[in-house]
Amino acid sequence: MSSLYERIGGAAAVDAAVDTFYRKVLSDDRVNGYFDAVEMDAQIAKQKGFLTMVFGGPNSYTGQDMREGHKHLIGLNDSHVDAIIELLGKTLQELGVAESDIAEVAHIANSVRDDILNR
Amino acid sequence: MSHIQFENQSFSLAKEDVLTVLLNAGLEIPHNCRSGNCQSCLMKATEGTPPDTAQQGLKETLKAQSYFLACQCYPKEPLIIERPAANESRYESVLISKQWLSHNVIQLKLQRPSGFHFYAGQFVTLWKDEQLGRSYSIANLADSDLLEFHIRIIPDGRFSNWIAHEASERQSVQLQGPAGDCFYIDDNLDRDLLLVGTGTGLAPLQGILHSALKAGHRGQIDLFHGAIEPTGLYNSKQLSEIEAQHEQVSYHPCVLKQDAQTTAYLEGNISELVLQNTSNLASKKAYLCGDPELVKQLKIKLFLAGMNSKEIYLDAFEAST
Repeated sequence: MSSLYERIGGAAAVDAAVDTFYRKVLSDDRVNGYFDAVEMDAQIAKQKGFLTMVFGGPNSYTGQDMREGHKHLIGLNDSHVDAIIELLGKTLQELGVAESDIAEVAHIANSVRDDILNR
Repeated sequence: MSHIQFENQSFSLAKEDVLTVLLNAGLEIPHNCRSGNCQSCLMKATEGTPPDTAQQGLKETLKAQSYFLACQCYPKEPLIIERPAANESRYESVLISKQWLSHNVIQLKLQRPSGFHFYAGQFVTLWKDEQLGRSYSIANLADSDLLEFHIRIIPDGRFSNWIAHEASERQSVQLQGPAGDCFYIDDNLDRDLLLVGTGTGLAPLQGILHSALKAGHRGQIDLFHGAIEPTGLYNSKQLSEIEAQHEQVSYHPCVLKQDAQTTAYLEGNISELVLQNTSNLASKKAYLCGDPELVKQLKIKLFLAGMNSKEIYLDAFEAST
């Protein structure tokens, strides 16, 4: 039985998904205020780390990192996490990822919700 | 078993990656994700070829310079490696000629020091003395004995005014570098190229344009050069000639403002002019050089309009006096 990360396509899939995902994020007024577009390459590297994690791939993210990385963002709430998970799902649909795998990715993303929202 | 050399120490690797070996030896190496994504552990091989898997996800120009990710590197051959910014080599050079290209731009030619290698479009720091140095892009091809720079004379700019008013032929100048990843790669001769520069941002673009033509590039090459007024469009005669000689080249001089009588140039904000006059961005490669705010904003606009982030190269010219 292959892992979620292998089924989605591993590092190559992260590479393929990151532009589409980040473009959707920057184009979405619900969440784009929280992203500094000017440092685009640095942001894209961060998004690759995030995608690797939610694809179930090898990563060194900890709940503490998630907490530290987001706690300065004023006004961040469940609606923003929901929007990101929605954009993630749309990105994966465009790449032809199976619905059951998309649900699994959303589940992993949901598992860090409380860390992101520092509660 | 393979071997690497780093900062005058040798290491043997059994099955570990390069990052792990260096960290285990107690060295301070920047790193974060250890899965090949964050690129914090970027390093450069000065001898030997890093494996393809250690270069996955890097820009083509970084690959060409033998950069790799230490955490993904399981060497197949001996490597000599260094930190990414370790190239502090300085070279002695002399001024060969200088010539005004416009009211505030000087073309400076220096002798290429022996052993100095570069890609056209990369930049170097030119040093007047130990204290005063400024970075400039190389505008000519790598096979010349000369190095061509476009120096914008900045009011109160200490280096540029020294070049304009004091430095003369045979003046010695120190040169440090090269650096930067804004240069031509002949990985796909049919890909369309978008070159956009403001002011002396034309210098690296000129180097890239000549490199592309020399490589036999077949894809469309659109060069947008922006200036505030027509007087700032230096080298326009030369660029129009290149356009006339090469079917695939289009030169688009742009100004913020021109006289009511003239319609020779595109008029308006260069970012908008670029977006209005280009299509099929998803398949293009772009080089954006010049005013920092402008090129960073244009990069975002091109990305949102569908361009691949890895295909957008940036050279932001930070001016200082």
